Amino acid sequence: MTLPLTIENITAHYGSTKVLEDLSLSLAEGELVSLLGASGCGKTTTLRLVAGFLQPTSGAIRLGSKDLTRLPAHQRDIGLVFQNYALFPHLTVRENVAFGLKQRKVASAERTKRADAMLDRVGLAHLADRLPAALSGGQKQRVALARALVIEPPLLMFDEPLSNLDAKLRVDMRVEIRQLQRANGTTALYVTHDQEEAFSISDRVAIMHQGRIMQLDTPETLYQRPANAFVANFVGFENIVPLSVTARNGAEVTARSDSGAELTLSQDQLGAIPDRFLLATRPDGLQVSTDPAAVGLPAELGLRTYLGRAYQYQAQAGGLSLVANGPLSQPLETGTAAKLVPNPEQCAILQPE
Amino acid sequence: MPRLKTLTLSSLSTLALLAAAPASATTFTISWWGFNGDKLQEIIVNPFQEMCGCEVVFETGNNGDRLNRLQMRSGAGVDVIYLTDSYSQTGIEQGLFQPIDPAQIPNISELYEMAQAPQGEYGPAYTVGRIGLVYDSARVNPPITSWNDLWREDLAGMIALPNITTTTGPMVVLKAGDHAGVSAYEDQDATFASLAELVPNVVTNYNTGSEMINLFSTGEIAVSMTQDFTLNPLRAAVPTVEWAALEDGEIAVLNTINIPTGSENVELAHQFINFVLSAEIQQQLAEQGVDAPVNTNVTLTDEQAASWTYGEEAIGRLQRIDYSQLNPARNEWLDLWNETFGM
Amino acid sequence: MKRLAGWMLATPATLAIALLLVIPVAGTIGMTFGTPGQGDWGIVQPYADFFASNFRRRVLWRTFEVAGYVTVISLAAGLVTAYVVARCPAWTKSVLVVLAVFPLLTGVIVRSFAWLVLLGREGMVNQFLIWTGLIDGPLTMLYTPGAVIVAMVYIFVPLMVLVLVGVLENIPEDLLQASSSLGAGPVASFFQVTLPLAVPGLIVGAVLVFTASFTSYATPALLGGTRQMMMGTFLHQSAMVRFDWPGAAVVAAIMLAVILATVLVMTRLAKRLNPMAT
Repeated sequence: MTLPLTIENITAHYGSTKVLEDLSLSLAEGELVSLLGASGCGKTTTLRLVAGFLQPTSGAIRLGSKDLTRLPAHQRDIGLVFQNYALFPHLTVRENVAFGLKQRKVASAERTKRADAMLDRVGLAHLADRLPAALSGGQKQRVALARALVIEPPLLMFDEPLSNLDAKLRVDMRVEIRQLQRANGTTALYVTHDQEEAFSISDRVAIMHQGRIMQLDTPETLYQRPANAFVANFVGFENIVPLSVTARNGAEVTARSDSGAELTLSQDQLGAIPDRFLLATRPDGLQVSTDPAAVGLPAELGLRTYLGRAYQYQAQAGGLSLVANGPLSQPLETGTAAKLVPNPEQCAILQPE
Repeated sequence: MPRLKTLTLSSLSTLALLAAAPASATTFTISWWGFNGDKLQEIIVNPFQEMCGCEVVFETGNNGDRLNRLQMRSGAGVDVIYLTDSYSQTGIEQGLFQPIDPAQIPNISELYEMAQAPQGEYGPAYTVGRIGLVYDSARVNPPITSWNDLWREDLAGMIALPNITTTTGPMVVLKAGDHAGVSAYEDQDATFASLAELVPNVVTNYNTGSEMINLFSTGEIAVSMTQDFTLNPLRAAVPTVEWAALEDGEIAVLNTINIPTGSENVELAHQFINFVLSAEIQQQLAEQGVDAPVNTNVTLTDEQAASWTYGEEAIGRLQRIDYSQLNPARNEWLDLWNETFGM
Repeated sequence: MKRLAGWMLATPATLAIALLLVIPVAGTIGMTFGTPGQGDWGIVQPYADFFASNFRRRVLWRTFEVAGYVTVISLAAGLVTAYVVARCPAWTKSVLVVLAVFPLLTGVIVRSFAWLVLLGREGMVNQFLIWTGLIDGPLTMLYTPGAVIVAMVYIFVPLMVLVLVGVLENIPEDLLQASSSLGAGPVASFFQVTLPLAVPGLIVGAVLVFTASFTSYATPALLGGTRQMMMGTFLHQSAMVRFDWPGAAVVAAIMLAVILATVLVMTRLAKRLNPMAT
């Protein structure tokens, strides 16, 4: 079975700078995969490669069974939605939407029909005769979406389409995009730097860093089981604690931190634990406790900030700077000695780097 | 009070000093074409500056420009003005010149009669020239021997005529009349019909002598109608150029030198005119290839005289133009000319 | 007091403009009007005389023709050049723009003279044509409208390139990427996206070149000769050679009217066609 999009061992350069290193990625039919990362990670470069605005130094790109690698951009039949909408200012909304159809030599009457139908689907039929300048940001983005969808491409690509919209609109629009994509069943590649956006609408997310995919998984897996320190940090595991196993008892593992604190962890909950490992926790996964009987990392508390649902503390635990949360019932002052108790459900085991 | 006295005394003495300052070099302004500038500097200007102890400055340009400027200044700004006779006729009619005092220009008596008082009580002629045809013998065969040869079919695209706005332009019209066998003044229709037949032979019409010489030297034309003063520079540029020996005769051109009504140095102006009319200066000008002499005491060898209109006999054969008739006719002919050549 | 100061500061400039621009132009135009009652057309008789003359109408028409050809050819050549230049990487682009604009630094007369040499019967063009065997003997190319057009295109294309490079640079890159992604090849993208968006700039360039070539003097004088008069050279002849100041004023007034009309029409057109105005 041929997959809709296959990126195979792509290496790409800008001039003499290597920007993508041996990148491989496949999308399944109807899947929406996000490329997520900070600027410079290579996500936009990947999109431009698939679109044909950039040539790879080595590797191949296939759309279904069609080899795109040497094909010029205008022959690739991919629907693109741009960050700045890229609507043609001299054409009406309808003409914008019909542009791709016109290039495919669709007859005028048919073009109008299909464009109007698509505009109806995105709720902008009443603006069909307007010029883009008269539209709001959200409306423009919907026109851009309609324009990309109407040509019924085998692949849709989104280049940070919501970055220019305000926060509330972003949330509404991403839902609309996901709905349209699922209704159409079109495979989609989505580029963004916004973690919440990527996780909320994607079937899978590829977290990218310095031209490489650090982890490609469902949002849930990424969120709960990051594969490495970079991804862990990316998805919010702010605390990384190096530990060494001192004793094993079936699924139970006792491990000691560099500062001497001992913790007991269960392999049933956390998966396999190697002899030396990193324990990654979110602030929520490290509870501040003044109970002398608590089992956790001893630490001295620093600055306290208010989160609304809890207090958050900067803490020093034997040379490590950690961030831990504590209950609202017990605001603690700077300098207090406390134990930071890891909550296994909010922890992940990582290989030492 | 003493302060006021000092002030008055010092101002008075300064004024006195200024007044006593030598009438530092008077400025003597000559209006002429600028053609052959370095030779004129050497032959006329430098010696004259020594003679008069004055500073000579120039106003240059073609006839039209300079007469126009003189008119705009109402005859002031220039001490003597060199013009070709048709333009000095216009100047006279516009009241821009003052009559000369022949007593201050004794050298006039040495000139050919034609040159002494060509336009009444106004300035004399300092040179006589001819208007005729020139052709590049390397490209024109058989040679040109008549004004009618201009209409020859083998000369298609090879001729530049003087533009109607130049001195010699209107004479083309006269010759077109002759070619049609009519008087241009009386039968305009036949004359301009004859001129129209000339059109296929004409590449462009030139406005200045230098333009005409350039046209020859770049090979754009092979035939033209011009005054003889251009012959030497023309031959220098294109050695194969010949002055046509016209059986039907050439036209006389007298260049005059006049004193405008607004001249600031009238006495000096008369001195200058006398100077340039003298046999010594006229001899040098002729030998250096600048102007043909009108002073009868100038003797030239046959070789030197070859490019000039020289000698009693040659001068006597030239056709004279009546500018009081030609100038007004020219204005009528302007538009007709443009419609013939410029459509 | 502040108001007075403002007025006082503006006075020198206002006076300068009035003395050096308004009054002379008004005076020139005033000179063009005849006396009421004289001739069939009264006060506009001099204009009637102008248009009644075959020769003057021909001169006016020839000037329109030449300016028209120059504008159209400069537009095409300028657009192609600007298109190529605008797509070059930054450093190359700067160099190319400087090279394109460099001729503007030399005077019009020098540049026209260059064509006098190139197009002459013994010039490089003829030599080349004879060498390739396309013609047997030299062609007379000077003193024709063609020579004037060629030289003017050469003179004005840098201006056009300068205007158009700016215009093309202002077309966002993502529009062309969008066009490409929707299936439009380079040619289709050029005609359906780039060109329509460049239109306001094209009009600005066209107006500049048209007015400059319509009023040109030096180039028609050098390369057209007296048989190919245009408004500029005819104006010069009327004023400086024939001393027909009223006639020259009529020519000047007509030139002024044509230019004003052109600028007005083109500006309206540009405003209506400007889709990028947000």
